[in-house]
Amino acid sequence: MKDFKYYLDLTSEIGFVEEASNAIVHVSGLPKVKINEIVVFETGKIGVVLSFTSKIVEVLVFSKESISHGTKVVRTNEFLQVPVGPELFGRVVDPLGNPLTTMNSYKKPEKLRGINSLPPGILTRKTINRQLETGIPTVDLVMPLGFGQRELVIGDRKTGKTNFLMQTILTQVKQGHICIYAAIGKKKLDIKDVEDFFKKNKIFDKIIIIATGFDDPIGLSFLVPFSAMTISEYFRDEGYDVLLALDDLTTHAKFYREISLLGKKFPGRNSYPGDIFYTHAKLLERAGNFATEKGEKAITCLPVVETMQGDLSGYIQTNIMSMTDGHLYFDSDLFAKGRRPAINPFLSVTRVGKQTQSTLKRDINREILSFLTIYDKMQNFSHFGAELSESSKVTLAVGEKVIKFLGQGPSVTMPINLQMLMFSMLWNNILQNRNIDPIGGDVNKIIEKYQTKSDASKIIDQTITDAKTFNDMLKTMKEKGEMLLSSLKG
Amino acid sequence: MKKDVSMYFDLITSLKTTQEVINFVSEIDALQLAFFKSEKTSIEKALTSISLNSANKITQAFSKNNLDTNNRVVVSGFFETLKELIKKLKTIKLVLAFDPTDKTIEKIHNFVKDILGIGYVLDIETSEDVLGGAIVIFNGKYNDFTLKKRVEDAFILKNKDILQLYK
Repeated sequence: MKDFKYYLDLTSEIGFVEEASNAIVHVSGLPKVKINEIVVFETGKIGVVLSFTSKIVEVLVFSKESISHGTKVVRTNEFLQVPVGPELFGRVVDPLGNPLTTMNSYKKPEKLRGINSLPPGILTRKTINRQLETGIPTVDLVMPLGFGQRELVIGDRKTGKTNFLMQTILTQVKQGHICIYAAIGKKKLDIKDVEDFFKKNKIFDKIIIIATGFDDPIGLSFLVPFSAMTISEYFRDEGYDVLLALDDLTTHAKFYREISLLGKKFPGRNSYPGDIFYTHAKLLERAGNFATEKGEKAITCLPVVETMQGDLSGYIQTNIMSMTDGHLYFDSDLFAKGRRPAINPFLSVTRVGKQTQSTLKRDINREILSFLTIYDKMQNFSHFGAELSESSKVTLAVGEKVIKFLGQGPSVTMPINLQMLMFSMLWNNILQNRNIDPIGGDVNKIIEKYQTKSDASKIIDQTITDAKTFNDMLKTMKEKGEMLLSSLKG
Repeated sequence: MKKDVSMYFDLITSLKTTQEVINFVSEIDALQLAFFKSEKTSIEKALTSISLNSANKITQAFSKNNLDTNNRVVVSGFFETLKELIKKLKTIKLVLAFDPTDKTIEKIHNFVKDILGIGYVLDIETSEDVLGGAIVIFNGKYNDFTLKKRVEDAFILKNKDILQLYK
């Protein structure tokens, strides 16, 4: 950006600050100003025009320092743009591309892209037909996601939502996709934790973190998801599939509420402005599966929303539920019971994920869901202290194993073919016979073997490809299950 | 119903600068305070609380328009309308290289009155940096007619010629 004097000479228009309240500044003058245009204050600070009347221009500023009455302002005839490019990999930056932490040899990308682009129309959109692997059996087998899907991650605080995002990013980065993590108004410590997780798993240089702290200017925090989406669009157009995690939109809504109330907009339900739905829908509509010049490319968006004591009927919660293609509900009760991830399959929805599954995957999905329903009923029944039949006891015992299998450590991700294999083995009692626990050290070793021993993984992948249905798979397991397990254990 | 604002013409046109406007408004406030403090206070007595110049102008406006100064409602209405009209005055900001005399201000103000009509006041700022000429800011429009700007432009446009002079 050039300086104040440059733009003054360029536009020959000037304004004066009449009123300043935190992030919102009211300016008189600037007769030809446009919505979303950048303005520069004589102090060097910048802001963006939110709205205007014939007398007053409402500006959102991106600085913490207060702006005094009478400060001169100029318009720039430029719209808000964010720097985009591969230079952002392995960086933690604010929505304007400025580094948040001290980073060696960081050069801000020179390429710029407008932050407020319109969502692509229906003609450029494609049906979601490729499954997005998260590396988490509960999701991949029970609640599958597709490339280009917008899946809401919802739940109380401290129920493992961010951890789920990190595991998904870990899996996706390993598959060569672009991953962007947007932290909106988070604690600096939480941002550092995310950074450390990626560093520990050696993928930090392959992801981009767009973040603002809770004490950063609210104008900047408001921009985070839009900036992250703009960067995602850049990489989509460059020919990559992008995974975008927005953590979280309840905080974003609160920031927008603050901005709107300061801007004297009429408050609606829960004091949120009337256009909060529009603001979020405009953002999430920019994700999807698209036909681009470089083929079918997707922006998969995982927005996070926080609930209060498991209440799914909140304003922002229901708004975003209606904008997304399903939701994964992180249940605090399940979390307290020790289930990791604490996804409640009965309260979660995936609207387009199942259409990406093969017959085998769909069979497994149906089998697990129907079994979990029976298991849940059986568990409730057993609580009455009734004497259980042998079959009920078997169901409960298998159920425990299945639940264990669906559980997972915080930084463990399991390839989807291995998930299907392990589940088939569990279903065929092969794991139980060999005394292998479906969670923990045993499974971690198997995952490692699968990822490092290419011969073993090739055979497993071939077995999965050959099995058309779950019955085929079970048949194969009876014949070759022990051998396959030995190859993974050996 | 539209108010007859012609009676305020002399008072409004006598204000030339924003400083004069600020002073005059504060005098009206002081006058209102003195006048409405007690029901027994007459306008003549209240006028002694402000400057002689402003008091004369207000007295002239009352007599010229035959206003009943004993009627407190009329007097109150007069001041309120006057303040409303003053609020509507538009400001033309001028940045000059020198501190203008009263005569110069009057000249500039008359010039503005001839071009744009009444209802404009001057906000004059002095900055020696501009060297000469003036920066005019009005309605958000910024026009730099200063000598400083001319010199800068000359240095940009005729950079080579100027450097040639030093060789």
